[in-house]
Amino acid sequence: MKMSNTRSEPFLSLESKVGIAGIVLKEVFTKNVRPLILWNADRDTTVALHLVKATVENMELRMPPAVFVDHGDHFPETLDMVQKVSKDLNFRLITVRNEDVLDNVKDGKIAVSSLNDDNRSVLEKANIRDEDLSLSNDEVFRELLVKAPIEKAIARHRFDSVITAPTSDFPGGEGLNALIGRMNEETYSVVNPTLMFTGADLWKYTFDNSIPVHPKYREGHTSVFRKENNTPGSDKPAWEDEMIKEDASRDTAEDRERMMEKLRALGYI
Amino acid sequence: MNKPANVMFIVLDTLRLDTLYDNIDRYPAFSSLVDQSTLYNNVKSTASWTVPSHASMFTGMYLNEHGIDSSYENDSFFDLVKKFPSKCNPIPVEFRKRGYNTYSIVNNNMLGKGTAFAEGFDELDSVGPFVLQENHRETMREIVGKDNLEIIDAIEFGGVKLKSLLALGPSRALRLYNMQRNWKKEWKKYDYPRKKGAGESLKSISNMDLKEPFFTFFNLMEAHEPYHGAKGFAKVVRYYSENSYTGKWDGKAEKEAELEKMKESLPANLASLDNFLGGLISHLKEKGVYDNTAFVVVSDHGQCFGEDNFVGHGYLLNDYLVNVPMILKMPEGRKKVNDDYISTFDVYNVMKSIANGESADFPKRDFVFSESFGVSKPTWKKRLGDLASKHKPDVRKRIWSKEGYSLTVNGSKGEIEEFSYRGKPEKPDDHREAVSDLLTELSIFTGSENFTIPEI
Repeated sequence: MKMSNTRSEPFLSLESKVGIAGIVLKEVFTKNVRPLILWNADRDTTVALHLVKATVENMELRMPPAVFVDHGDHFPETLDMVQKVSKDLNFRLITVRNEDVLDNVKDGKIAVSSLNDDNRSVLEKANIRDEDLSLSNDEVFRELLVKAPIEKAIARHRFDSVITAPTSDFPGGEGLNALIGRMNEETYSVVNPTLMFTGADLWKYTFDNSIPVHPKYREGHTSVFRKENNTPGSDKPAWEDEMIKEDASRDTAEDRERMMEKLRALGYI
Repeated sequence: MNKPANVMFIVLDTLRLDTLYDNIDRYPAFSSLVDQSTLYNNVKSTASWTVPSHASMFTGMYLNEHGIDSSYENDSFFDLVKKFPSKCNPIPVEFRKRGYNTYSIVNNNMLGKGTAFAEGFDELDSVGPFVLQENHRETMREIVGKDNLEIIDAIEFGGVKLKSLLALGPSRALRLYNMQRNWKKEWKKYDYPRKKGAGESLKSISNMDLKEPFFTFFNLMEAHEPYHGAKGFAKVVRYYSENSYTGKWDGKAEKEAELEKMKESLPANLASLDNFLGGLISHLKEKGVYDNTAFVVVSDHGQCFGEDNFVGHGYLLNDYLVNVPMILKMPEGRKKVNDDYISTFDVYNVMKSIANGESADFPKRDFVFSESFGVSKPTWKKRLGDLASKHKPDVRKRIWSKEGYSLTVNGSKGEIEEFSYRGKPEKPDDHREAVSDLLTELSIFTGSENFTIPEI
């Protein structure tokens, strides 16, 4: 999980951070007309999704649509989870795929000559000049299978704000260290309501609010974005180390035990 | 750096696409403009009446985005249009930010001083008989008081009862009588309804000291009802509206004949628009600014003359109401035809591009939409009389895909009302995949308003 884009606010409580996220989201729904949630079914964007749900309920608005990028390398659990959560929370799920690329992949390789003009233009803009490309190359994967279909969906539906999480794999989100930042020549803004949440904050918020957790985290995976080269970091659930480590730095042993009890009660340990 | 182009944004209110395009060769100024312009064949208006449609062109947003609709429940509709919501950046303001001088000349008080449409203009002039009429109405409202506004409707529809007039008291009744008499004389000076303000608009711009770069907005009402040679447009509207609900069509042939006469009178109104356009071009040439001026000429909605058993505009979203003509002339001037599906809200984006000195092509959209949130309460009562309390106006949305499919949904009833492919009606069951895609897009497009998407 990339954590470099979060903004550390050690003196703010989680409750305050949730309050700030609420203010940011209210601003988004007041000033923008077409927000979307970029949702990967990972911990971070699922928390963002739930913060959005709370905000729209307060404002008596409809839940905005969520865009899920089907890049062709998901765990089956991810696909199950997006279907189930979108149904349970009753929002419109827009699944986007770069069909042209996925149709032309052979053994993880793509010949640029087999791609359509749109995709060739994507590669040109990204300054990727090779004739034969491999999807194992992160940049190629991100430009063609993540960024291109998202940009297409934003233009197609005229979305004017993208609500996501700073640690997610939103293209261009890297380095956007702001709660709301303008992107792409002012046509849309990128909103990071959880910018100030630490990893432990995100887990705590998840468990406190009974938010669905991707099953791969339980198996020790620290990222669920794609399958390739994704092995568990340890045999413990992903949240264990992260929560305990951070709690240890500021809480008493009693607090830690209380948290462990809660996790056991919820069935996460 | 190139000199910024001036922009003439001319809205020909209520002008149907076929009325202009079928006759364009007969009008020298229009023909000459088209010879140097792109003519658009598939422009869809975001709404089927003036205020929400103009709001889209002024803000670059659809109705559910700018929120200026006309829902039945919204009694304070006219208060709402006094100011655009803060999320909007109106086009005159955008031009002014970029150093433009901004001028507005309108024939319709709904777009004049004191409304949202006045924001950002350096100079604003409201001229023509409709403006006079609205001022006249305002005085009448003051005389009768807010509890007796129905008397004004009755006077306009020719059905006022002496008893109701006398109930106001002799002084107020006499003032109303005298006002009406003087008003009719005043109106005749305009050669109304053959002319509805285009001549006065030309005079107005000729008197303005246009400073470059300039953005000038016109709203011209020549194609709007009532029409020369036909009496009682309002009565025909009411006949069609009421009978659509009761299903009784006695005397329809007579009404159809009246509607034909109205349509036949339209060329006179178009001639008046053509004179305006010719005069405006000559004026700009005399001033030496024509070669650096872009023209965006577009209609805000069409008009029904009995099609779909409807007369007037608003409420429905059929082809006669939302297919609108549009001509875009850039300073360099080149003749082109464009068949893409285009929405009038993109007029905003194109004008902003011109202001930025960028290329002014309309973006190719995968989908475009029109919306109708019913009509305002007083208007609906005028249309339906006593039936208005039983029948709420329905909310509708229509979508077109770039492939040429069109689908209209009545969201009050959750029903598909129309489905067609390139203008030809088709059965939704024969195109389930296309219909399903369009319904999905409609569902994504729909904001937080109460709108039922049908299941198929």
